[in-house]
Amino acid sequence: MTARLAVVTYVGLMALLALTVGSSFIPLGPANTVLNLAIAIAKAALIGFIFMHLRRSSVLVSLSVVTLVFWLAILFSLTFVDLLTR
Amino acid sequence: MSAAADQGEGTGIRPAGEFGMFVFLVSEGLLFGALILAYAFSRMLNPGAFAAGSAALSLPLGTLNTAILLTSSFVLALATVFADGRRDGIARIALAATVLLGLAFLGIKAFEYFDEAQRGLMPFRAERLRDPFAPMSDTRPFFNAYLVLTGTHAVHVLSGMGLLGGIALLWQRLKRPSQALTLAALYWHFIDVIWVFFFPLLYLVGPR
Repeated sequence: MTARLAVVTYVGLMALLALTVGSSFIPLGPANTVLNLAIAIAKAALIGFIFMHLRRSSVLVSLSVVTLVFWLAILFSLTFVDLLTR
Repeated sequence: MSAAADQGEGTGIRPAGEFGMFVFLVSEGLLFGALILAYAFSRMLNPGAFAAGSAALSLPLGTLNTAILLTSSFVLALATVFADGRRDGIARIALAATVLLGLAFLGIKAFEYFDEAQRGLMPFRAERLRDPFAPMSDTRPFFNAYLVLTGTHAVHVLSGMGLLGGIALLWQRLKRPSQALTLAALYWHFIDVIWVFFFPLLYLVGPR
């Protein structure tokens, strides 16, 4: 990571923050929540790939992150299978 | 031994440390994932309480706090760039700035807690504690989740400040300060990622 790349990432993060706050003043119903979460994932990806160097990390590190997503997917899907089918 | 090798480059120390830190962060991710799941469960059962509770929070302060945390991550990223370039002095200054931004975040969070408690929104200042027959507040399920999520996050910010502040203070005595900084920075960025998800979940539930 270079200082220049860090600045570009920071500007991107702040723009996404402005976008998510701005979008909350436009009533879109449930789409507001979906949009907010999509922006949050984009921000997390920027921080992860650039600030946390996931862009050029080892296979082991990438695998550990995939493991987290995998277990969270099981945790959430099984819970909602119960909650949404009651 | 060259200066670069002394800092652990090309020796296996860096990748081992990075992997160890990520294993820890995955366990932290499961902790916060479980909290977010509990939040989602409660929100689906009490949609009205969550919309009303979220509207009672201060959006300007929440936005300011998000901006402060994003800025702290940026300053810390610069600190790692400076440390890798052997500019130790300015790296330590950037580290200290990161800790101060964390302090500003906690200060604003504490003010928010105080304000919400004064308005009787917080579980620990609820009307029902003084009068058991008072009706349960409409926003109570939201503020239960709010307190647990932000409280757990605030403890992490506090420990991250201790970690980064310790590295800034003990820089000369650490064997590989730049390596220590890189690993501690991963923890701080992770805390930032958690807040990036908490902000819309807590402050932007319903239309403003």
